Amino acid sequence: MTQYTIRRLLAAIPVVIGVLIVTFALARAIPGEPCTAMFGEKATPEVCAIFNAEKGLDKPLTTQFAIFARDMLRGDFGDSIRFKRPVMQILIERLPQTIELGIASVVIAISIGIPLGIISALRRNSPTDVATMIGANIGVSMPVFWLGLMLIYVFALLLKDTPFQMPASGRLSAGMSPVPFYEVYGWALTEGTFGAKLAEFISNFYIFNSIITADWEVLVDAVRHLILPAVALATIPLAIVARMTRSAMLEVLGQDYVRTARAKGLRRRQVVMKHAFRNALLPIVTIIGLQFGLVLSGAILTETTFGLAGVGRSLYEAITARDYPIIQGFVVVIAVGYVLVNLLVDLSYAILDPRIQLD
Amino acid sequence: MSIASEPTPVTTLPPLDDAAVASIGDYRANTLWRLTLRRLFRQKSAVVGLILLALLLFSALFAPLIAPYDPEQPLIGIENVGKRDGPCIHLLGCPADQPQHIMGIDGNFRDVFSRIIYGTRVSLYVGLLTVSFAVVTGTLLGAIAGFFGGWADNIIMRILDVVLAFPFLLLAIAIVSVLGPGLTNAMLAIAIISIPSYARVTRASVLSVRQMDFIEASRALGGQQLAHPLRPHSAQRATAAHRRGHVGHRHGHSGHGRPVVHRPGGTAADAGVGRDAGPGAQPGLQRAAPGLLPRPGHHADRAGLQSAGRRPARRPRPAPRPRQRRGQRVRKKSLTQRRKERQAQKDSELGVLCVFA
Repeated sequence: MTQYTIRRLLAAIPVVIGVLIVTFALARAIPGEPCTAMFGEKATPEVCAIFNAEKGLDKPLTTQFAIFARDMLRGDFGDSIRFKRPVMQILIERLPQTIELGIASVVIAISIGIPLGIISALRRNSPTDVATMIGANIGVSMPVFWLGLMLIYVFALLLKDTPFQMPASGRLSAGMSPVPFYEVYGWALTEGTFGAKLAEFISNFYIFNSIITADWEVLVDAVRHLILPAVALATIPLAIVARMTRSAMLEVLGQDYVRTARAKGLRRRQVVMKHAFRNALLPIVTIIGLQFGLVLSGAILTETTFGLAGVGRSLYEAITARDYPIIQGFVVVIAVGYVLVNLLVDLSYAILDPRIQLD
Repeated sequence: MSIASEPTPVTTLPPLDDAAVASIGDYRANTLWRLTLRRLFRQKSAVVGLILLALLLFSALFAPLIAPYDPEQPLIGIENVGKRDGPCIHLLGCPADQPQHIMGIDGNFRDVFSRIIYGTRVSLYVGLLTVSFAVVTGTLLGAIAGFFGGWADNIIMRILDVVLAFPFLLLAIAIVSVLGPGLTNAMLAIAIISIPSYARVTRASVLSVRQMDFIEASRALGGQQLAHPLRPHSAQRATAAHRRGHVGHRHGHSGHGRPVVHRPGGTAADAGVGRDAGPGAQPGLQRAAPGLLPRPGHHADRAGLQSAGRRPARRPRPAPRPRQRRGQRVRKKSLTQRRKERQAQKDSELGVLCVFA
């Protein structure tokens, strides 16, 4: 297993390098310069010359790429042109939000989609099955932004002043300020070290942070803010998971060993959950991993609709502002995340099905 | 499968009467196309899909006849309508003196219904062109990668991996901003992004089919290298050949095998072990089964359209497990080969998923 993991990680290196090159090239291929994007009408050639020299944008492209690659290897993502802050810092602030959203939506998709799929498979062609599959079709075809707007309309406007009212945007209500767990526990962290950065990164997972610091008020508020975007984002994966589960279960349930298990007198429930479902899990896990990977980069519509400053939205804004370091940093993180999620999925195969030997 | 059985050979041929001639006609008429169509129309979901598609086509073709207004003409000054007016349908009690707008007016004083009718033209055009571009390019690349293997495979698939791992948005924005905005470029962007999924699916099927006997036979007969990835073993052909029983006696799934296309449900479960290797399966077979069956068209399950050509209309009874004859040798596979097959299966799933996503 370790060997396999290492081999896979090594195999991912060329892909990441490819992503680096393409990102670098694409970011610069977009017409318009950071200078004009930033200063607008005031971007005279003189101003731009100073600006470019300051940011190192006047060097030849090859030199720029070499510097960029060197910094990346050192784990330095550079400074944002627009915000004049390290890209790493921006990532620390924004990545947890997207991951939180992604996890929440995938959890919703799994916890509803899998049972739906199993029930559909068990009662094939029954009204339940037909209804579920029609629902799944609708779910797949639903535009996320429209669903998001409808959710906002219903839960933030129509249900206003009822217990079901949900906040329409943001991560926390105004006035809420979560205390990072390291401050609560009184850890002394030196600014700028890896440990401090990691702690800050973790503390930006508001839900996790509020659980470990027992700050229930923030927890409730963060969860309430998360529900609507997570539901909007979960709709499509939910529908896909339900269909996938159904078809995988149908395939497994039709096999002889399932009949054998029933024939030897096992309970139906036991056969379904232990014999059938476990064997049907592999494709489901694959799709879940993939959906999570997609969420990392694809949540931009949801993030925009719900006013969340996550990875997708930051990336979009960086593109419009020609903020090369942010574009590059975020894309690399997304690509690495994609590779890692894929790897996790592959490793989980071996755990779910002991017959699979990865090495 | 209802192919009319051939008349039993007799020593003296009976005179050709009308019935015999008619039955010959029947026999010939059962072409793959016809069987395909018949299966297609037996599937409810496919029929529904076809009807929807036909509706779209109809409204695109006859847009000028259906649409009551010019889609681009602002009605300000022409009719007494306001910005973003709601629908006005005479049948539902809208006063008769007001102009009828089934879906209301948009922000630029245009009739929404007409715009939607004309919009189907653009949608169909974009959908058709992008998908066909992506399918052709992706299939070609996947077939080349799968068939030639080695460095060609590595280079092509790694490049496609980069595309796949790349955020869709940036790629789309970059393509459009480099080439300039416009319908064609947007289409190109969508097409390029969807190439990897098709390539992966194709590569996976090619990988599993290229080991089959009829490819070897074709090679042995002196068939040209290049003809292979493109012709006899494109997915449908392979399945069709498979179904006709040209293939596979040696592979332990006797003759007719399973005409059923494997779905992504297969996954890694049959990587090291056979698809049929549930807890109760016979050993021995386990090594033989994986990868031997063509697995094209995984979305077959979902899109009735695609599935019709490849699998029986109704979900098949659990296929009879191929029996291993006593004394028959089961070919073992090398580790590398199994690893490749596993990767191929994963690829194919991934492809399908991407198509959905």
